[in-house]
Amino acid sequence: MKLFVRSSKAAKPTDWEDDRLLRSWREDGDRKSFDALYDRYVHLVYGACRKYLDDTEACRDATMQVFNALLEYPTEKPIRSLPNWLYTTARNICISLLRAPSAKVVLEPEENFFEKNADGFMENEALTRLLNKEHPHLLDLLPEAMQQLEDGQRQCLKLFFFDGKSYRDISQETGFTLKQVKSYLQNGKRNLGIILKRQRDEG
Amino acid sequence: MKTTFKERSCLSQRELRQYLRGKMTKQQQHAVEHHLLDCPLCAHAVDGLEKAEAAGQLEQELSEAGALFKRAGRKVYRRTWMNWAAAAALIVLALFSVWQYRAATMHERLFVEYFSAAPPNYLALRSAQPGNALEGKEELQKALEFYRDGAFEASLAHLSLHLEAYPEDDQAYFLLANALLGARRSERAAHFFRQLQEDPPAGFTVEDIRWYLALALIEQEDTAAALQLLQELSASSYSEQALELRQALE
Repeated sequence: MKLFVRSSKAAKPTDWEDDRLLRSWREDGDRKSFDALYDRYVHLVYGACRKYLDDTEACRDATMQVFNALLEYPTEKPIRSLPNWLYTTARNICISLLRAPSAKVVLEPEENFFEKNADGFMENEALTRLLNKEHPHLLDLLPEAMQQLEDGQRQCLKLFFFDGKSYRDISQETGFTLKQVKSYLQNGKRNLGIILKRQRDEG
Repeated sequence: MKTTFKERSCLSQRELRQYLRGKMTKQQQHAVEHHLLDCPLCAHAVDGLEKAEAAGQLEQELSEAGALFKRAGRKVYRRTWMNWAAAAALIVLALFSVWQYRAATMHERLFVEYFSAAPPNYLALRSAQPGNALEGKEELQKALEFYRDGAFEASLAHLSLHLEAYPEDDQAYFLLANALLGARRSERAAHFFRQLQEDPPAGFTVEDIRWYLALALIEQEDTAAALQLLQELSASSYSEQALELRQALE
């Protein structure tokens, strides 16, 4: 009975992974799968738009446009990572809204769009994958690799990864602002990936 | 240590609320912050919704965002009591709006999907030139920093200043045209690309210039001219992308 309950629960679209929901929506046109994806991500898409746009109505418009774009996205084109696709689409839509002549929705200066480079996130994701699945033995090389980072990055990464401290704890402990802490962690993790890949290729 | 590199899925609404309100355990908070380093969607959402939470509007905004599609859907279902003529008029109106929306956004979507600014070639050229090709050229260095970050507007002023001092630098003209295109000033970008077609800068081919000119034309919604250029690219290294774009435009 337990088994039956578990398997029937797992069969609910809301429990499916993104890939399966996407396939079901894009290949079979199953609207429930699309709704499940919408429910899973709408708050994040809206939040990402909210970072760039102050006007909440403009944020709602942009959010609708992102999901409309997903509805219309050609089936033959793969979506490798739905969160990354949603983020990139949301950012592009916000940029075009900001550049429209009638836009009165700017809160953030436009250069802030580029303050967090999406490539940095993708590289960090690649490092996580590298250490988890492809070359877990590289974890042993971490302490040595961290010595090659600049001070701020090393200090923040050590407190975050080894001591399990939160952004706010690290900020209080080091005197760095929250923004600096995030930036050191982001860039430090990316640099760590570069160093570890170099070590992998050399050894 | 191994646990610090565990992958996790994106934040649910509940987790997002708890995180923003500091109502997570230390371990939960750490796992979320680790995910934020890897996921641009969640990281930007947290940054964006911090503003809503600070203004005391988080619940209202999330509930309105969550209802967007469903509300639209319910509206459609509730129209069934209307008479057929009104329903038909609504459908015609909706189709017309969709057609207008698609026509207006197709070029935009294609442009965003296919445009990727040309990489600066100065470093590749460096070995062929004595000394460092960027040395002493502060404006160019600043321009390249912005350019590489995708901050095209910001790179434009520096590129212009650099070109005043080095008017013979063809590659800077090419980057300027790319930056103009990235900043969606496609008319001016097309003007530069047309000039560069005659004599491409070192490291780039006529096909490179034509590809970007085609994208500028798409951004301007000049479908016929873009199609003609894409046709000319069918035997070049851009053949695959050119074919995809042609099919999409046609």
